[in-house]
Amino acid sequence: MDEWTGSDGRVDVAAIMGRIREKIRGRRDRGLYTDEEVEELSALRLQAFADDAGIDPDLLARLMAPNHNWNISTDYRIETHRAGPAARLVVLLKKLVRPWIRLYTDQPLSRQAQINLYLHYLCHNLVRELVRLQIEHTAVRNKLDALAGEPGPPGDEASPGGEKGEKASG
Amino acid sequence: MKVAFVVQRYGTEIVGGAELHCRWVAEHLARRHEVEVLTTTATDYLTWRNALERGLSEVNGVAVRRFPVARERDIERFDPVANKVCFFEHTDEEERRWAEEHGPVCPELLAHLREHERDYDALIFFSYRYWTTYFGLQVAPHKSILVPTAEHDRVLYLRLFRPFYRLPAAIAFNSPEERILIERITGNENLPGEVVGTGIDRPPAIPVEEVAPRLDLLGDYLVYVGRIEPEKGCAVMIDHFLRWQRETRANVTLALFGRSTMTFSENAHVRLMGVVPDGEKLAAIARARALVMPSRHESLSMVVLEAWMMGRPVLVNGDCEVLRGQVLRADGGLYYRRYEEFAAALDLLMGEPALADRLGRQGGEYFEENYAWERIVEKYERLLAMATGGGGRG
Repeated sequence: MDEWTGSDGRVDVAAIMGRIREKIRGRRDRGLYTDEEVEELSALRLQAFADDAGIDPDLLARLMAPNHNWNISTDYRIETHRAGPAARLVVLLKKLVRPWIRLYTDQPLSRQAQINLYLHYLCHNLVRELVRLQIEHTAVRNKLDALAGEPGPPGDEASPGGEKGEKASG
Repeated sequence: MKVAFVVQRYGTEIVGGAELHCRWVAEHLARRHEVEVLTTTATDYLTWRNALERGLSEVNGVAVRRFPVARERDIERFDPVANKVCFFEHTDEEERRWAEEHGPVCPELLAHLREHERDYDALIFFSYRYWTTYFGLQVAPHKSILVPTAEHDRVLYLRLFRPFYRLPAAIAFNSPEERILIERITGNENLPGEVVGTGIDRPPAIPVEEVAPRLDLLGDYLVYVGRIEPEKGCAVMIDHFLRWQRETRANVTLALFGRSTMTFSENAHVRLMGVVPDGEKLAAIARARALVMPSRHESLSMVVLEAWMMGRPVLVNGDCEVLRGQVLRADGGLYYRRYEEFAAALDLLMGEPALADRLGRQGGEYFEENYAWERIVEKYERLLAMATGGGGRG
């Protein structure tokens, strides 16, 4: 019988998956992550934040993409929900007033777009750094736990002896 | 018994998914009953464009009555309403609009059902989400069987489907997970029916060793079969595979069979094989190390059943409850949720051929026990008895 075969002579998939997960956990405990894995974890963390915030998944996909087409723009599409001649008139009026509106909106919108971009970079990089630090922290904690479990060097036995001596003299 | 199958598309040119499932079941039940298929003249599920002749015809010995679709899907109208009902607060009216925009809107089919429902002893509807099923099943729910082919997606959460699932006399679920999912999300406990699934029609055998050189698949390879699109998890699968291949430098090819709607760069290790005849596809599966199924949304994966029928193991997306459940019940493959698990599972399947073969054999045994056509037809007979006995809740 090989290592994968259960007592009933069948290969047990649940057991194999358990072994796979154990092996992966072992690697993680030692803090062995590639850059791609860190990216993957960061994306998962960002996804979790977005789920909590309940934002539109389409917008999230755009936020995670390398381009910046999620940002606001000074330009805007002119459209109307009306139909027929009224629609054409409304669109024409909107086109006529647009240059005047943009005179007042372009500057603050452009500033807002730059702030959005900066915050986007800041947040994504912070999450990535947070993930890296958490990995390092877990690895260090596991190392410390392992060291605490090991017997100390022989010289450490001096202090209990000293204590004994003090008690004797007292 | 005269049985009508109602389905959104039908024909030998429609491959995969619920439509093929419907055709196979209809062809097998036609050996025992008088079967007629009521469907549309559309072949494209994205546009519902009328492409086939309307009226009565025959497909593989089964009578097919086709009705024209009243209007094609307008993506400009469909996308906003689909986005609204799936992801935001919305009204019942918007859900009704979604059903109309989703289509295929086929009033003539509905009129035929209303006029002739007495001519049929039972009606079997495939895929809950389509207009033809949603409105058609309401014509005579007491003698209707629903094959939901439901996946865990946002559409199932729509309010309009809560009372709908209480209507049919019986439901043919594809898996225990699908039944639990539907009952939980629609808030309907103890829905009538049973877990059925489908058998697989095996085309005439083609020698495996003949197909591999023809397709230029000579070394070790993994196989994917189905629509090649990001929604099916293909982009992530290709990404994972290339990363694993880069890390291990393994000389393994991922062969993709099916129609592609996404762009990806083919190379020596990822190859687009296109659509091939069923016999060739099965022979290619039989020689593969394993079949990969990366989809997160499945109610029953027929290609997983095909892999088991050919004695090969599968590597499936563990985020899909149905696929994970199937693999665990069958002990017929492995599953993954993240890249690390994908890589570890591939290491095992490629590094231990004997283990892969045994998983494939176990999958084959499970397939024979649960999905042989005799078993499937028996189950449909029981459901037909429920529908004709008036045991429904409609």
